Amino acid sequence: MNMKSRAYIYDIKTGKGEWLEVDIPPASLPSPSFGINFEKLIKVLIAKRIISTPEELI
Amino acid sequence: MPFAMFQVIPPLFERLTEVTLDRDATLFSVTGLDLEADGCYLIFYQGVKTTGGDTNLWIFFNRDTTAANYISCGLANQAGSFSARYFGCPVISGPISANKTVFALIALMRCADGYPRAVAMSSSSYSGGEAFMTTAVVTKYITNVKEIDFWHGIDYGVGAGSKMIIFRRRL
Repeated sequence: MNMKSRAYIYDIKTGKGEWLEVDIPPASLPSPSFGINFEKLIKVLIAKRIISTPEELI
Repeated sequence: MPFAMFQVIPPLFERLTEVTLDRDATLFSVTGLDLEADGCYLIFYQGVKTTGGDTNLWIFFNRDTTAANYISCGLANQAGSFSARYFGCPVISGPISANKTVFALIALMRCADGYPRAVAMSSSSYSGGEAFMTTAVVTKYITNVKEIDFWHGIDYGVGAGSKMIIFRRRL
């Protein structure tokens, strides 16, 4: 659910800026991430003896 | 690649506008654009984060602030730790913490499928140190970009002194 907050909108056609009330996402909205931490991955692969050095992945 | 990009700016691009924020805002926007007519934009964005924990810089088009209407992905180096990231929202830069700064160089173009795509290189300061990120943002809901909106992930998070300079293709 979005909430109301203030935005500064600059219009290049008029050369003027104005403050408007706009809908924005809730501040607490998390940024979903499905990232891979390659350093951790390399450590796991070495620990499981799948590779012996990080260079083997390159 | 960055140096090559800077060299082509003078002959191929012209400055469209430069705007500096003088008070804290939640969204920092430039309207009156016409991506379809102009072809492409180069945007230099320097953001000052006001309060809150580590949050990413988001870019919206045409004030469409529904996060789920965008997809972004990127490669991040956060304090020496490398990761690949995929978001269901328009992340254009890595994390920024309170009273810290982000700089992003963003290229925006409407592509053959009819939708705009933004790619960026960015540098930001966060609680863990420095973050560097290359990112891409795409939406399937907007065809012509008439407004660009930046959000720092928190209410009134875009601080005074934040600035954007927009170049367009010289016709």
